[in-house]
Amino acid sequence: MTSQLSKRRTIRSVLVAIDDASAGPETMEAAVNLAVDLEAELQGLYLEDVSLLRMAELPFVNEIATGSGAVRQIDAESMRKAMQQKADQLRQAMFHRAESAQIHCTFTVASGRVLQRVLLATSETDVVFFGCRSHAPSVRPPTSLRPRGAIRPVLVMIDTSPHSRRAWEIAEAVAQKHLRPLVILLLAFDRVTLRQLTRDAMERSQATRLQVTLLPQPITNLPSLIQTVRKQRPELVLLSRECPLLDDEAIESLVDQLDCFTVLA
Amino acid sequence: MADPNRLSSSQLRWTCGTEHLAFDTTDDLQDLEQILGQARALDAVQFGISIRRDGYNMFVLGPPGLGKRSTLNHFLTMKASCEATPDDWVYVNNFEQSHKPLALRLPQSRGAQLQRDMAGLVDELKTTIPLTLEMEEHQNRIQEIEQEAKQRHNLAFKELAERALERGIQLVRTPAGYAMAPIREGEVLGPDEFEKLTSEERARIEEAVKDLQEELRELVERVPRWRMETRERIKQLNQQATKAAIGHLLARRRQEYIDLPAVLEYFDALERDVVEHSEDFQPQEENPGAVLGLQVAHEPEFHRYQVNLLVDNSDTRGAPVVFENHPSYQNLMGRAEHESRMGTLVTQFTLIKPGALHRANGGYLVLDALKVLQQPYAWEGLKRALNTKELRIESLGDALSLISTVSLEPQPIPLKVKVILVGDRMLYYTLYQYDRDFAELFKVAADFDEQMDRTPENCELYARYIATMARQEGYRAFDRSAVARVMEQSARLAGDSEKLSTSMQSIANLLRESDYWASTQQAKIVSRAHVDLAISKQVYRANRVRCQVHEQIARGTVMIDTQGESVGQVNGLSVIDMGNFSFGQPSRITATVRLGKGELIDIEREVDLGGAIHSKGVLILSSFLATRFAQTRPLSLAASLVFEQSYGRVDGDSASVAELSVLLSALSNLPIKQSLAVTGSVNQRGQVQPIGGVNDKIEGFYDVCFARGLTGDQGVVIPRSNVKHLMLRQDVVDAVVEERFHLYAVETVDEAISLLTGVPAGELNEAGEYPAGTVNQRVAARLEELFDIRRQLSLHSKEDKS
Repeated sequence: MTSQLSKRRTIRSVLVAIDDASAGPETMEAAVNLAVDLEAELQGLYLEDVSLLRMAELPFVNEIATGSGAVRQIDAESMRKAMQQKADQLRQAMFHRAESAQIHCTFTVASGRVLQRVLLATSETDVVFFGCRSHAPSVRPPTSLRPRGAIRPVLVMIDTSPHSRRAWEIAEAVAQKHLRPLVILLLAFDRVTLRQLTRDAMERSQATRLQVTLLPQPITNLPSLIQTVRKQRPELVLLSRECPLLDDEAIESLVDQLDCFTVLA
Repeated sequence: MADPNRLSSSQLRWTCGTEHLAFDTTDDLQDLEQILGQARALDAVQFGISIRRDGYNMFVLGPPGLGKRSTLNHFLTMKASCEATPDDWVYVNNFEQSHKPLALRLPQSRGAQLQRDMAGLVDELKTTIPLTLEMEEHQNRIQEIEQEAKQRHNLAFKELAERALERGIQLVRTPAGYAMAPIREGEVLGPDEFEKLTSEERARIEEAVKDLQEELRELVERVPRWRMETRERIKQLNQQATKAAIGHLLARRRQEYIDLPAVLEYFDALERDVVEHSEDFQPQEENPGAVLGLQVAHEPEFHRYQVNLLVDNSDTRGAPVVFENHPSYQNLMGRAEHESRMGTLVTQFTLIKPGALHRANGGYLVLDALKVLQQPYAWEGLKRALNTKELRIESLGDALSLISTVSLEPQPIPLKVKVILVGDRMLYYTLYQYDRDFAELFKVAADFDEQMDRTPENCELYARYIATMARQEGYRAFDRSAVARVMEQSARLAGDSEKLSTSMQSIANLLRESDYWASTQQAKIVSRAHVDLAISKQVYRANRVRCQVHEQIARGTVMIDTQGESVGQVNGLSVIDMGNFSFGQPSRITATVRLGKGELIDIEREVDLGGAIHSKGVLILSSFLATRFAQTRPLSLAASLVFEQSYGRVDGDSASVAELSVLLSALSNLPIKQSLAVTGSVNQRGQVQPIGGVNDKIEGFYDVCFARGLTGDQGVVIPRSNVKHLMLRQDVVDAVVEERFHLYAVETVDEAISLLTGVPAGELNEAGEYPAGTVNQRVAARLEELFDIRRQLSLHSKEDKS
């Protein structure tokens, strides 16, 4: 599937957007690997939140360190340096990985909020990659305690938009390369569309050797969609940027609340 | 009138008459079952093997080549086969203290069974535990816990964020943590906007930020505790599931080992450990992003559930008999090996290797005593094990407290073994004298004799031994002439015509080589000629040095006279021992005398070339002279004795007769016949005592004389007490028969000096004087003369002073 993708060169670029709410190095690493899988160019984007700089100039605002809870005084200069340092680290990591993986990459630092900025930039890239995002510290138990036997699947949300097919192709390619089960979540408002999507998915699934699970259930609202996705415990979720069921706000919310990598195709 | 000192040819060698051998060839003889000529040693060996008491280990002593090891092997194998086979020993992990592995004792062959069972159990656990933990129901419960934890977190942060918003503050994420930022109309306030606020407003915001920061700090501090709680809950859930799942697997094993409480205890500990580490049995963990190729290998280690089968007696029948040829400390005591991991040397209980003591536990361990003593700390380790009756494996570094790295301290194993050391006598007596533990630990000594009496019965047994060897080794049959020649050579090896050598190694070599030479001549039977050839070839291969020495004498480089007479000069005899070959060599000994105060100077001793025994011999001469010739006046001479052209150490007192004779010659001014050589030691009373190597010494002088041409006057003077030791070469005997060479036996130094000078020694008459013209009279007169000169000198000296 990867070769088919590469022959057609349907995916030319992968944009990975990272801000301070993202797990930066992990996200960067995973994005590089996706770009390698797709033989695509990688565009790194680090977003500095200008509101943090303003906040840092207030003398009574302190920073509470993640993990230790230590209270630190901050100022604009130290905040700027911290952001620059993080950007530099990400840039170096990305270039180093891209060089060893022999893919082309660029890295940009911009100001603004991730999702807003990325959603604006979707017209300039084929695929947008998001890391795990959370405003709360990680509460996942140590990996040693989690059931290791269950291989986490790749989940793709299929709708009627043309970009949905691209997401499907990428999902198949990644699942095939990494021997992962593929979960296909069919999104439709009405049963007729759902049946049609189910039929298409079944036909397509039979042509692959993948372990495919179809979830042809109608999704009534965003929380239920998030719950359904979470229940599958996916490693990677792919969806169309033009999904008629999800507006920008819903996509932002979805990316924010899923505990996994997300690809917007 | 026949010379009473001269020996007849029949006294020079024992010849084994074939008429006494009642067989044609060794094929006619039965195998010999017993060990030859070692009755005392065999009695000790049987006693030492049989007695089961503390400290009754055994030291088998005697020179090499007596068959000590083969004898031991024979008796030990026989005894051990009737004894019970000892238990197996295994080391297993100590789950409480992993650096102290536990030793388990199991009946024969069940150690290997336990090892197999545990390997099978681990395989089953690897399947069962992941299946259990991956079951949907179990995973759902874990997810519930995770979800619950996540919700609690999210809720806590959400509530904090909401409370903050109510006060116009937003919870924001910073590069390294969190902060509380004041906002207005959805945007974070900058310092300019903040300054524009009223002082009350600013104070309110500052107060709110301060309160919320404190709440945030407390919340962030709670996160690790929550994470730990979640972890504990999931762990407990995993453990409960695992315990339930593996119960039946262990129950089956417990049933199989129900008669072994120690094993059951181990199973209990193992079960607790498996439950505790159930996550190790799950398939390899993948780090985040694994789906995108970011896999980091993490191989769980199951070695702690393995069984290290230290001693496996599955194939042992009876008690073990172990011969350890390289008794290093580690080879004896066992060791914990190390392996390299990421450049670091690590060890674990599966790397514990047994030593010879482990393998011999419950049986017998045979060691070469010298090798044990040569290996650093092996002797100390062996004694410690025997004293404590337990086997404790520790590295030399730990044992000597040289290093203090974390290492294994395996549980000691009870030791019940009989150790048998094999070594030479000197080693035994040295250990007995200087090692205070030795006598306590090695109470039985089996002393192997180098020779046996040459009785008709023993000769018959010897012939049967030859026959047995020939059959066992596939040699040709030996006819009785060959057997007779082997026995004659055996007597020569024993250095005694009335004894036979028990050095079976030498005899075996002679049989082997005789068979070889017979084969080169296509002979079907080994005869006397083949044995003779084998002996002469042995000598030829080994006698390069002898040829060189004799050549130097023949060419006059080493000055030895074999004709004529000379005052103060005599031919002494010495033996050069090359280890596998020894030969005799004549040495010129000279003496000079002068006025003195009784000093007898041994030049060899003066230059530290004389050994203690040689010095003792020379001092005895001084004492003899004083006793015989200086009863009423002091000895007024100074004499010097020297081994001419001797540049190495001289030891032994076998030249003391020669030295006394040459001294008497110098004093009496009577020349000594250079056609004679003399050997023997002398005591203070002038009695001649036996010496060693008499055959080599005689043959050495004979060879020198023969090379120059035998004159018919040449011969050797030996102690009469050495006559029974004569086993001379046939050519020497033949020369004596033909009166071309002579052997004289003497009992006193007077007999010796008479033979050497041709002048009677002279006996003291009733008047206390020696007959005129005799050696002793001339010596006494010379000493009197020296005394007078000394007295005159003393008087002149006093007159000069007055």
